[in-house]
Amino acid sequence: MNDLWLNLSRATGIVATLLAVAALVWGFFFSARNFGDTYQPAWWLDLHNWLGGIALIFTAAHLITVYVTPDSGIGLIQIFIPNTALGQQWPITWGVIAAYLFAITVFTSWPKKRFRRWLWRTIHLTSVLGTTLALIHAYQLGPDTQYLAFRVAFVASIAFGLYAVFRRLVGIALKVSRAS
Amino acid sequence: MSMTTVPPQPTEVPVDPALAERMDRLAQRSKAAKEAALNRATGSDAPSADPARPTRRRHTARSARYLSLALSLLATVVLTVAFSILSLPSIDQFALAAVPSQSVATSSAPSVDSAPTTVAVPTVSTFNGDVVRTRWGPVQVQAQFKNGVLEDVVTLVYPNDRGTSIFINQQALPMLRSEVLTAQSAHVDTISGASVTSRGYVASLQSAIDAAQAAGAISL
Repeated sequence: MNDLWLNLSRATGIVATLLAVAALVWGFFFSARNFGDTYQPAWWLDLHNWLGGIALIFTAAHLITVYVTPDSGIGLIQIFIPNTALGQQWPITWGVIAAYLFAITVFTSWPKKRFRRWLWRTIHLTSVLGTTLALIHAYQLGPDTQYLAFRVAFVASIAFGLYAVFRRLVGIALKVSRAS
Repeated sequence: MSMTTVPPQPTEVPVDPALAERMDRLAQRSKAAKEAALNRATGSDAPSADPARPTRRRHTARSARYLSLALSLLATVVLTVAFSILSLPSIDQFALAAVPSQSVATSSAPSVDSAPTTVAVPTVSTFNGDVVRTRWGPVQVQAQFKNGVLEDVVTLVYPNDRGTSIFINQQALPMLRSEVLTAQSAHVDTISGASVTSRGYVASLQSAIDAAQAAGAISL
């Protein structure tokens, strides 16, 4: 049973990170509005919301399975308070902060209209930091970095994320140049 | 003589036909929306009163949603099974995975770090255990035997990258030392709160005992 919970926590952690990256990419694609005519903006937004939501659910599953894993050294304090783990404190801290940022991003998306636009955007963009921290957490703490499949997925996630950010930035730059 | 004031009669203002048409259309839509809401509330499957107006889909990416959820669950199951079946590192294996290059060498080994240090008195011998990687850091112990008896265990390396680790291990390691000296073997219970380090400690000690047995220093 030890191994089951540990392996489940590793799997949910990896899937949650990939979902977070996917949500990030879909969000930037939606905001860039330059993805062709195949899908409507509402489709991208809907899937972005969904991916973000299930990324948070899988993150919660990751935390729960880590908590119930015997001998993991992770208790409620380590889960909720950064930098309290006995060992590997910084990699675990990145994961804790990333989980908080995911939760803040998702839970502020529902009452979006209650926030000022600039405030909501600022909060929402912290998900980029959260996803980055989740990737660092996975790389530093995960025992799977030695495997080729993990490395390929890791590099592909970074590449897709950077591509989405780059495409969004290019879109902003073109918009500014057209306006001027 | 009194005069009665007659209130002005409302005059008929001519309505723009385009505006009237638009008002009618809005009224029809409003009526259709009310009927649709009523149908939803009552669970009726009656069609919308305005068939020309397409029903707005709440989730436009419904199929993609299902697909992503299915893929996520499938990936979780596949990864979990793969981690289990393919014997990828688990907790026990983390604790018991000795680093071969740093294992205890026999007396003929040239390495200063890994070679057993034979004390001047022939009946006392010292053997370094393997460096065992745990998830909190490496653990290595040194076993000292005197006349074939486990006389002392010195912890050479343990997780001490922060104050809490040092605090915990400074309590756990003496307890482990006491247990193994009493048991005269590495088959002891782990210390709660330091179970991962305990497993590394035991694994490293076992490798030292194995090396001592191989060298004929003990007969435990």
